[in-house]
Amino acid sequence: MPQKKPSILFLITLIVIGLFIIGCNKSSVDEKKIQQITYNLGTEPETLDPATATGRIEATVQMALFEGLTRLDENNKPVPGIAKDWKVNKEGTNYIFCLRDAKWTNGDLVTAYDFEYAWKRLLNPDTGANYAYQLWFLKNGEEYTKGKVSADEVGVKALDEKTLEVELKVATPHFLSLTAFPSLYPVNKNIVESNPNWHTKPETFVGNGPFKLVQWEHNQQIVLAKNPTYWANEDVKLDKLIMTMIGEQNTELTMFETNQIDIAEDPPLSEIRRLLDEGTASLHPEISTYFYSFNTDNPVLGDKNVRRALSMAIDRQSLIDNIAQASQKPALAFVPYGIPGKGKDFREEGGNYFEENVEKARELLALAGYPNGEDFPVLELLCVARGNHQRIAEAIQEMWLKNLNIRVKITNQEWKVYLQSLIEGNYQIAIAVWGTDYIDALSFMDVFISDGSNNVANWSNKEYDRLIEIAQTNDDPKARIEAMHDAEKILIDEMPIMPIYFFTNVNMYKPWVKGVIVPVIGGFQEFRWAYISK
Amino acid sequence: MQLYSSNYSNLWIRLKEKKLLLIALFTIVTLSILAIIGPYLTPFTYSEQILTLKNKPPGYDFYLKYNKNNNGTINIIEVSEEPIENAAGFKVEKRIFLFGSDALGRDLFTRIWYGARISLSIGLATAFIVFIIGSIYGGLSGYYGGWIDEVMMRIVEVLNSIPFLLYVILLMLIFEPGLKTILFAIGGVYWLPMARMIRGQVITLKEQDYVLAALSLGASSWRILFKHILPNSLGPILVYTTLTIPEAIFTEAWLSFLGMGVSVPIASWGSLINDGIEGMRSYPWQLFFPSFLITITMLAFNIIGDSLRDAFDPRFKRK
Amino acid sequence: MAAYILRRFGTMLLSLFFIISLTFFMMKVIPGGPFSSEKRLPPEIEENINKKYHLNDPWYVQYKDYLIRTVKLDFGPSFKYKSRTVNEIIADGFPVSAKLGSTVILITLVVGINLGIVSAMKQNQTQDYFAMFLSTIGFSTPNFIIAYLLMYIFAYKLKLVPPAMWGTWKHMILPAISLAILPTAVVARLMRSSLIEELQQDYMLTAKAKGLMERQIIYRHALRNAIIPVITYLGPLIATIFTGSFIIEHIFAIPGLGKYFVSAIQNRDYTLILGTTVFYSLILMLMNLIVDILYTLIDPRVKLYK
Repeated sequence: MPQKKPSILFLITLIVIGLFIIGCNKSSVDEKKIQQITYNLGTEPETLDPATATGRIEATVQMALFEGLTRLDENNKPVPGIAKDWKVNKEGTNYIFCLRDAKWTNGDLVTAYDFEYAWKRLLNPDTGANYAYQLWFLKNGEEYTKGKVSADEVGVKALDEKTLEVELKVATPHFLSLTAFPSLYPVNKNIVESNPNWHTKPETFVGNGPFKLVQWEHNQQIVLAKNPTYWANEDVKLDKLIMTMIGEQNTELTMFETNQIDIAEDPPLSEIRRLLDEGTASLHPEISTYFYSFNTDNPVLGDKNVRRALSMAIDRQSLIDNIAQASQKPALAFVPYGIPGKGKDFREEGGNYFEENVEKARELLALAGYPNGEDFPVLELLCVARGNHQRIAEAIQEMWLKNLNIRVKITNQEWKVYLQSLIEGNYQIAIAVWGTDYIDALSFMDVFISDGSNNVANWSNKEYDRLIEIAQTNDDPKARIEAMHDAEKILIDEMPIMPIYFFTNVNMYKPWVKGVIVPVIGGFQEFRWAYISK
Repeated sequence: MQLYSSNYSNLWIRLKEKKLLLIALFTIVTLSILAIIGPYLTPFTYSEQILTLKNKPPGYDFYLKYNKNNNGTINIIEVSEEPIENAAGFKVEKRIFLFGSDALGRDLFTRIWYGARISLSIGLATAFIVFIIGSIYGGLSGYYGGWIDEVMMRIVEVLNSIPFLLYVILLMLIFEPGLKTILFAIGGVYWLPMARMIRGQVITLKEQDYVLAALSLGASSWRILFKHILPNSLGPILVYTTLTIPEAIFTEAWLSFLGMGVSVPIASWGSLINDGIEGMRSYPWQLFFPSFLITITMLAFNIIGDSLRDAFDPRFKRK
Repeated sequence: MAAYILRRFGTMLLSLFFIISLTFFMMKVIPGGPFSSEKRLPPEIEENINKKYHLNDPWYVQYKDYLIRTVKLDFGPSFKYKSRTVNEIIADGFPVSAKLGSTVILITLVVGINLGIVSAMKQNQTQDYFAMFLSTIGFSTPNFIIAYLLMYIFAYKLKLVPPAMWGTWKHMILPAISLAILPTAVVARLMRSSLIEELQQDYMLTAKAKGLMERQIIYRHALRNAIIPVITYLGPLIATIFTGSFIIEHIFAIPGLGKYFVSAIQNRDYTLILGTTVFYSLILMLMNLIVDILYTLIDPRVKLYK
């Protein structure tokens, strides 16, 4: 057999040389002149049907394929979409939307009836839509989903083809922004009624957005092209938009750095600092809070002083600088930046409600009956193996041990097991994240009402409940905000949760990508105004 | 017909002849000793963090000024690459990250030897379980054949088809998450392919002449199976057993990747590799050291496995 | 033989029943449902969703539905990917995984067996040590590390091949190598050790004494028996590799089936868990049957049935 060896080697050499030639031949052509963007979506969308889709992945694709009554601009302000203009009554509970001449991709006119149909479809109990509650601001919306009233009594009605009347339960300041949210997109009534699977294939898909669905290779990529029937199609500069589904962060970064994709999000943790320093990655606001939830049913954690001591004894800036590394802001309150208050930003008005102070924390711990951490039981910190949760937990574990002489044990659970443990209150301390689907402080503040389904801390405070009720029902915007400021003060004073930091998003854009908007709610990227410029 | 050498002094001589084997044994012994004492060779503990010194390269040295808390932890007063002046009540030390530090500023050297305990015990225990259960189950199934074989092999197929993750999640609920449960989970499925492997060997070997000869001499079934057939298929069995060691180590790593491995801050080689992968572009040593050690360990185990096979081989008559 | 195969198919159905039942009860027992998420839904909405997906039915009704679905081989819609059915997901993913898998098996067989033969023939010589050193590295380095290293060197630094995604044959090179290294190493070692054993059997010594040429001996006699452990190893391996590798498909963004064996469980996507499990177990049992038949073909003395 020895005579065989050279031939194998020869073959390998040939293959390598061949590959090299093929590899070199490419990439000399300048492809960037055509208006095309490749963006890494990261994963397969669950569905593109506006009624049953839920996540931000789905919303990103839907924002390109559909348009609601409004669309959010780069300042997150609603600008006219399918609605040309609208009128609001004095109380802020009645809206009349006037629709423009807009077409579906199959040539049909987008009518007010389509909106009425789509919204009622979202609320319909038979649809089984997660996001039905997005329309519970409508008069009788909640009642319809709960099966108490019929569809006719819901506060949305097409007066004619071009006019839509909406009646709200109470004045809802963020309602206009909400009409830009994917769950509230219209669907083509005729198409949906004739083919329930219309949204599964490009051939049958009908949208009304700046782009149309050309190809959907599952688990691989979605290809979109400029939609000629879009009402502002001459304003859309991008010809082609490819959304890839690369889920692995290292792979994504390699694809980005070898110019195979133009936009990527969420680089590997260890690379964030380098990419930010190089200017490859940029920071974008994200309205969500990272916090630990204390189970107040636990005899030790039931003591407010213990909770405050734990919360005051960690160094948030150090966690951000050394572990999270994406210039997150330390959270000394619960509602993040970026939500409007009475005039300014809600967070800036409220400020910080406590300070980190190890000495004070030790005093509080002594007050609770554990001087110098003696006799303090070993608590369990419930964690999941995602992102940087584990590292942050390890650092906090070490901080509590050094600063308070308190030992905690970190227990990892599989994601859905963890969710179940939270719901059942079967934990002591748990990591938690809260983000929002609409820009109003209420979306954060109503979490901790006594019977709130997401109040996993099992905390209850009558005064807090009263203040939140004011915020939910009062038509005066000032009074609402005031009540929420007071409520947040109570929440932080009682500390059923330990805020850690407010998130940021780390995105990467090739320098030739322009005009992409990073929305704070809905999808991750808005491509309506995007273009390529070299 | 004496097929199986009972001359153990002869066996030892054969083992000693192999220099390679001695090197391998030395490696395993050294690794085991380091796994036991390694974490105490440094002034660091496996969980102690110096966040400002994260991701430092191997051989990084620095001066540390600190005082001790009464719970054994230290308060870091100052960290510097230049010598620091001492003051009353504090200590100043020069320290070195021999293998560099990880993303939380922990000493990788200490963590690697700590991880060696976890990973080696998972690997060896699994190999042991697999070897024992696999041999007996597969041996009996293949030897008796017929409907016994049929039933036993269908059971293996059923157990093999149940999604592993589902079964691990369930185990974690029934028992406390931890090393024992992980061992139970991994050991519980890795014997399945082993049983099939041995059964395949036995099916063919039991028709060989020497088995028929032993049978005609009136040897009992058990004796034939364990004294004649199994020793003759030792080669594939040992290959497969050594293979389960890295597989078990990586399965643990995969479980910790999915949030079901050993709980942090405890390290295992697998979890160190997981951490290393993430920073492999900028901090390659975090990936290199644990991977390198796994490879060395496996090389040693393979050499030992091969030598054992040769040493126990009833027909080995070379030289 | 025909009767034996028929009987095997009979017992396969029985096994399948146990597999479905065990999987069903296990997935119902573990915490979390397909629609639990970070934000808990209002209870009425949860109720509506459960009603839509028949998750409110008593367990025996759901169990019966699953059994019926399996008999019809129609597993219904996925809970997670609401616009796709389980059958569509398998039909989309399997060809991709199988294409990659067959390349992997080909590499494994050609390289692994030859490496094993060379080693066994030159036992304890340089070629043997070299081959065994290579194979030890192969099976002690996890395939995901190999995958990352290959991607780094050949896609990132040398730019010879695309880093990830699926399409041309060039996309297949790195994942195929990453996946093939471990089985190739194992096959080489199994081949070596059983061949060495086979070469020392009495009949081999007789053949040598008769003066048959060494190479002929190997191919005609020893190889046939020595390949048995390799075949035993390859049977289940083919089932595993053809249905896709979670980690490699994840790293190289390959739209195969492997992903779903893990993600379906993580998502508690009940119909998809069941569909993938049934699909995998059918292939596994079929492969094991083929392996058993091969035993009798290779060595006529082997009797599987009485």
